[in-house]
Amino acid sequence: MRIRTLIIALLLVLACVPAFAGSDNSGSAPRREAEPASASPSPEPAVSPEPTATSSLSSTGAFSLKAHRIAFYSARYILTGDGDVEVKLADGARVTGSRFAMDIRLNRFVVAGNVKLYALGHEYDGAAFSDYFDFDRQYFVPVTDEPDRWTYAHGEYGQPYRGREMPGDTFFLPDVSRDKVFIYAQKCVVQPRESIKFITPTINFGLAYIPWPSFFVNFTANPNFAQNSMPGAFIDGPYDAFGGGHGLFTLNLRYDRPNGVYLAPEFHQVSDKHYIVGSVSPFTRPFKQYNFDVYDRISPKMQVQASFQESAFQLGLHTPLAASAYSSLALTGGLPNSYLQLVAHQYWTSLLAQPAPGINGLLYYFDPTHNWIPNHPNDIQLTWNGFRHRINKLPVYFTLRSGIGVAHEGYGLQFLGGVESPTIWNKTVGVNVTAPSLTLIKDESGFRRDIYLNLSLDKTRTWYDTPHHIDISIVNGSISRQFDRHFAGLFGYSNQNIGDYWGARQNEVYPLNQSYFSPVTNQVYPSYGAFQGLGTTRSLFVQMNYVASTSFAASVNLRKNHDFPEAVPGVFPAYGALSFQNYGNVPNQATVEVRFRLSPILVLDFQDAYFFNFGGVQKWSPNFQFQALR
Amino acid sequence: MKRLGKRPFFALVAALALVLAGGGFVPFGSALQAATPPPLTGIPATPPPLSATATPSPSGFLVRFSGQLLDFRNGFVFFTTGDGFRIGPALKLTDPSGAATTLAPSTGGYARAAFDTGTGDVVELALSAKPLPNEARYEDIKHFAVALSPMTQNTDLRGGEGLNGKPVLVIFTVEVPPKTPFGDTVYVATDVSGWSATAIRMDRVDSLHYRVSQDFRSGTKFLYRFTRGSWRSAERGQDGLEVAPRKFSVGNADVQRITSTVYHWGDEDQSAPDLGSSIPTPFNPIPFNTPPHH
Repeated sequence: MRIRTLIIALLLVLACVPAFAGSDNSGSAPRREAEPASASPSPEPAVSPEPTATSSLSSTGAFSLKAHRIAFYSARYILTGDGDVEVKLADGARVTGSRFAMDIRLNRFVVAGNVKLYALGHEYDGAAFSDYFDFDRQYFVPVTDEPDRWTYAHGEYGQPYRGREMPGDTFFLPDVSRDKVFIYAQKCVVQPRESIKFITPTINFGLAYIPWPSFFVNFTANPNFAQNSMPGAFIDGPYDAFGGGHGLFTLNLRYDRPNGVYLAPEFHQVSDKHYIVGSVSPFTRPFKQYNFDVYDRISPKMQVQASFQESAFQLGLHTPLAASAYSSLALTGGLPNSYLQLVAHQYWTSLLAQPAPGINGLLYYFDPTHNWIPNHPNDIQLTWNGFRHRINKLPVYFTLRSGIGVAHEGYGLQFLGGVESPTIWNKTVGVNVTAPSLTLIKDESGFRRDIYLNLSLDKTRTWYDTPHHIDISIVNGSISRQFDRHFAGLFGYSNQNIGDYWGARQNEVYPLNQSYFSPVTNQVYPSYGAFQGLGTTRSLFVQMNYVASTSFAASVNLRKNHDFPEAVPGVFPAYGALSFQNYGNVPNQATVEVRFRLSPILVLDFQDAYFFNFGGVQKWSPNFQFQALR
Repeated sequence: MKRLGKRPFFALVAALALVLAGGGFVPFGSALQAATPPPLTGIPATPPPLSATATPSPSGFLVRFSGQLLDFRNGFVFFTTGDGFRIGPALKLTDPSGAATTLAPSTGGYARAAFDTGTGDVVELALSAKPLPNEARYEDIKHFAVALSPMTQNTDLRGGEGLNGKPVLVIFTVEVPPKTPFGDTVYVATDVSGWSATAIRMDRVDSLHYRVSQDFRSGTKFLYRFTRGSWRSAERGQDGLEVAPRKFSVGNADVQRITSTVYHWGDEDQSAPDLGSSIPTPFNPIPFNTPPHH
């Protein structure tokens, strides 16, 4: 209970305190220092140093914008203001005018028309003012007796560089006459390269403009804001309620089949070197999942990543009737030409206290569907991974890896021959050898239409102290060619073998009298009787890709699988998974994928698979994939 | 914004897609091209016929230049080039055909200025709410601009010199780790698509390579990372650590090739096979069946 309470509390507190990471955010705290009011413009600096442009992706202080009508064009990331425009910059300067335009991506704005610049206690008339945040340059067209061009560096309004050449599009006003407005407002606060907060806007979510108390648009370049702690859903509509440069609280309206429509809050607390992400999904349904992900780059050569997930059956926020949890921790440290990784997992099948025995002595909460299970296995693994090395001057590369680990379950991890093993140790070694892009036949035309060969071999052996060992071998090979600008072809072979070796106890572990009866086909599959811990997955495939333009692409993939144990009709494997299945892959598969770019912001992707009526029951894949990508 | 649906959801998803395509609720996604500097030109070159014109001074003739207005005040007209031009004493305000206009010069409006080459003054201003075709190049009228200070060179501008916003075909090719699951798809996630982990889908070229081609305008800049569709499966460096986003900028070439290598994925299991998960236990329950609970 404490963990859930903690997550909810953190969810609210962290999102409400966006400056948690230590630097300022979308508030009004200036980052640039204001100039002393006594300074006055001088004809030219006494010393004429060349200003130094700052990093092209640097950030600067927040500024506020007021106008008779502010419009945000979400498809183009353009912010405009019309009528009685007033911009208050973080350095204390104030600019008024009749029109404002900002290209969010280019991170610069322009104020034009009857402009007045108020800085250092002075007022300057002008035709236009532009601020390039990335370069910390301000461009001004003053109007005194005659026009001029002034450039300020680093907000030094007392020392304009007069007559300096300006970028050609400094005062460009974008044409948005054909774009749809997503948000109207009269006031907003812009944190360059991070966010915009609109005060009492009206927002069009698709049908009509609706008054809203406030709306927060986050467009930071920090990828940690994209970390997602929630489980998948068919449809997810996020509403960024509030936040800043380092924090974000989002309310997601989601839909999936088991839960229907529901709400799920999520918060992010991030910096360049860390993130904390938490969510409750679904929040408005009894089956809740509490998620908490943490990442921190401790040093340039070390990082830690942890996650915690609790699944609970819980009405509202009352005491759950069932609760299980999972946590993981990964600590990664760089070494010369290699790295170490420590990975630990802990499972709690039930977090609740043991209930009193109920019907038939069963342990459960409320009714037997919420049974209580005490298991809590855990494991920890330390691995060493080498970098990729080239073998002499050959076009062949190899990597090595090794590891040691232990798994523990107090109630027993393995039970064999009357012996219970609560703890199992393992040692592992592995090697990968790759020959990427070997030119088989060179294209003399110079159009890079060579025929390439790719080969890779991966082998792992793991010893367990029970004792037995498992060998995994994966061989992949492919021949590929770009036929012309639009067509590319690929022919490949993949083979994966897994063997579990017990020596003299092989038949004890894998008895020969096992076979599988399928209720779907009413047939017995005897290859499972021959299975003695050695499985093979073999796959031949041909793929053709057609890319007509950047707006349309299609691909066809034909695959022939020959696996042991064989596939069982009606039991669908995870599509495309190369890892060993409990059953083989469907012998013949054809997959078609078509992709359209409907607009610069929308791509539709359709994918389906055909199984050639395998076993008389499998034709098309029960799931087709339809994605709308941005 | 990932949609994964079974057949009954097709209509729902399609309807949503149409709403999205309609531009209503697309707050955070956008085209990469939007981060591009605006093209320098783009207005049709053929002007409409003029029914009336201003009269130039005896020593001059008329040169017409079209652009967007910044301001109109203190005897000057300012264009978005940043230049202020002196207004002649007998300025005519017209519509683009030369007839009388009800429009007044306003910020953001469009205008075609007729310059008297004898005086350098603007003697006629044809006003419009839409961009107007050009007759003269900017270089032809630039010297009429009035400025108190002489023009000096700007060293800041050298870096971006020559970027003209032309469309450039950019080909991304990435080599993936050999342990990448064969059926998986690789994507490019970018900052300008809100770091959606499925922003740009790549095509498999062979067992180790993926590729995608897209048009970008020169001058475009953005950050990107490779993913396998989620941030848990985002790329990692050769040292197993998270990598900083890659930086990308488009020059003026006809074709630009970007070749990258991904050494690890975030969800790669570097440890030994999980106990009990890689062996076909449902049919051979011994030895990994957990004994009855105590």
